Amino acid sequence: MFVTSFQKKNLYGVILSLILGFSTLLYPFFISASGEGILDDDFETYNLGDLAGQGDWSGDGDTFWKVADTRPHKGVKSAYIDSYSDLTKGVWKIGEEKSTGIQSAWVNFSEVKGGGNPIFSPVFELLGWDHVSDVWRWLNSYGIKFNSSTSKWEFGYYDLNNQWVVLDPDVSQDEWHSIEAEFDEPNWQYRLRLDTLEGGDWSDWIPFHFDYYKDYIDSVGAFRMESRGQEVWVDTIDGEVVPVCELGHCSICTYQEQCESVGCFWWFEEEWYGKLYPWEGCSEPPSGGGWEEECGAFNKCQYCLTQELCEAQWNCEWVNKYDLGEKCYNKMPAYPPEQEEWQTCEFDDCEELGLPEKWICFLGNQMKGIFCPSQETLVSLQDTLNSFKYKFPFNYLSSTTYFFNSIKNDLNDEKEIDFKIWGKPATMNFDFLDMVVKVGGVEETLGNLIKDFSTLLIVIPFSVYMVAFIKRFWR
Amino acid sequence: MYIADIVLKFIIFILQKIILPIFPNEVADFSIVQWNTFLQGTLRHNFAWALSGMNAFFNIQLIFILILVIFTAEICYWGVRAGIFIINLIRGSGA
Repeated sequence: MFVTSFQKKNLYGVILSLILGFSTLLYPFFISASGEGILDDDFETYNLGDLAGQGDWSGDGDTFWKVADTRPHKGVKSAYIDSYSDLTKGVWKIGEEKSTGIQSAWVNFSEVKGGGNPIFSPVFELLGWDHVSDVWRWLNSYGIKFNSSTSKWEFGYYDLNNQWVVLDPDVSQDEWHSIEAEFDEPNWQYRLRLDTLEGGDWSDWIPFHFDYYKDYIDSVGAFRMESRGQEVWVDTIDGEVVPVCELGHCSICTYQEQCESVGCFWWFEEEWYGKLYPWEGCSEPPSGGGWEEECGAFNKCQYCLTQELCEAQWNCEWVNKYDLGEKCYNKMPAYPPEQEEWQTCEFDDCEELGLPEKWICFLGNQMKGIFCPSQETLVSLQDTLNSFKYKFPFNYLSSTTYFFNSIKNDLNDEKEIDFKIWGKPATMNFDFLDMVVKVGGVEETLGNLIKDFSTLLIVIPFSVYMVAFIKRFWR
Repeated sequence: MYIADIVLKFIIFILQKIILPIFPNEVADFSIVQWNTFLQGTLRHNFAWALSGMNAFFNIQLIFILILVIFTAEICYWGVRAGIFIINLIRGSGA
C-alpha cells in the first residue's frame, strides 16, 4: 500500500508534536540545580588565558593553568593545563568555610604527554585554615594518576604514609569524569566517589592528613588542583552541603523512626517490580490536593488526612507520634495480608453412597467441576500469571511505572524555585498563578486556566497519535 | 480431579513450558538492576526537581499516563509485528 503525502504530513505532525512535547518536558534539565559549598566555578565568565588572577584563583608562580575553550564539560570554557614539565603545577582558590560538605569537579585528560614521575591528571586537595599559625594546610590529596606499569589511569588517593591507594584501576581518558569528595572535618575524615552518574559508589571514610593539626583547623575552606606532565581539563567545580534528614530532604532519612521524627513519612511496598526487592523509604508529607485517592492503598497511610479515613485502613493509626500533631502513620513495616481464599464450589461426598448413587453423585460433581476449579489449581494459575511480572518487558515496564509514580510523589508544590543558568543564580516565582480571573462569569485561578489549556494542547496531538496508531493495523 | 482443573492445568502447562520461556528475564547487557539504578538514581531526583516547576503549568500526571500509554502501545505493537514476522519466516511465506 502506498503512503500518500497527506498521510505522511499527518505522521510528521504527530512526530513534531511529540518532539515538541518532549522538548518542553526536558527543558529544565539544561538548568543545573544550585548548590552551596566551599566552592562553585564553571569558568564561563573568565577571559581566555591565564587562570591565576581571575575569579580569586591563585597559582604557584608560573602555573601553566589556563582558561580554554577547547574542551568544556558544560558551557564553552574550562580550566586547562598542558604541563609537559616534570614539576607539579597547581592553582587554588579560597571559598566558603564549611565543616561538612561535598566538593565535586569534572575532569578530562588526554594520552600521556611525558614529563614527570608520577604523572597526575589531576590531583585535588582540600585545604583547611590553621587559625594558630594563620596558614592554609592541605588535608588530603586525591584524583587521577598514571600507572606506568599497567599503562592505565587510576583513581585514588594518597594515604597517611603518602602511598598511592587505588580505588579504580582503569579510568578512561578523553572522557569527562566526576570526582566527588565528601568531607567531615569534625571527625577528621573524607570519602571519595568517581562517576556518580554511572553508579559510582562512595569509598570508605579516609582520615585527613596531619592529625596533629586537627585542633587548629575548624573547617575546610579552599580547593587546590594540580597536574604534572599531562594535559588536563577541569570544569563544573561544585560544592554542596551534605543534606541531613529533615523536611525537604526526606529521601535521605534511612530508617522509620528517624524519618517520622522530623515530619516525613515512611512508606513501604510489598513489591514494585517483583518480590526480589521489597521497597521502602522516606518521603515528603503529602501537600496540596489530589492525593486523597491514594488513601486506602496498602501502606499509604500518610494520604489519609482525617482520623476516620485513617482508622478505616489496614495497618494505619491516627496518633501524635513526635509532637507534630495527629497524623496517619503506618503502624509497623508489614506486608498486606494474604489474599482471601478463592470461593470454590462444595462438592458432594460420594464415598458412603451405594454404587448407582455413587455414580450419579460422581457425575454431578464432575458437572459442577466444569465451572469450579480447585483452590490449589487457581493458586497455581495465579502464580503462573504473576510470573509474567518478572519477565521482560513487563518487569521493565512496571519499574518504569514505579519511576513515574515516585516522581509524582516527589514533586513539590513550592511556588519559588532557585536555579542556575550557566552559573548565574536566579529565582522563578509562580505567585502570579494564584491570580483569580473571571471567564464567562466564573471565577477561576490563572494557574488552573493555564493547566486546562495546556492539557487540551497535549490531548489533541495524543488523539492524533492514537488515530494514527490504530490506522497502522489496517496497513 | 475435575474437568475445570484439567483444563486449567493444561493452560498452566502451556503458559509455564511454552509461553513463559519465550520471555527473557532481562535484556542482555542491560539488566533490570541497571535499569532500576538508572531510574531511581539521579534521574528520579532531577526529574522531580525539574517537573516541580512545570507542575504549575502542565498536568504532569496526565503527561505521565500518556507517555506510559504510548510506551506500552508501541511495545505491544512491535511485539505483535515481530511475532507475525517470525511466524511468516517459519512458514516460508517470504514475509
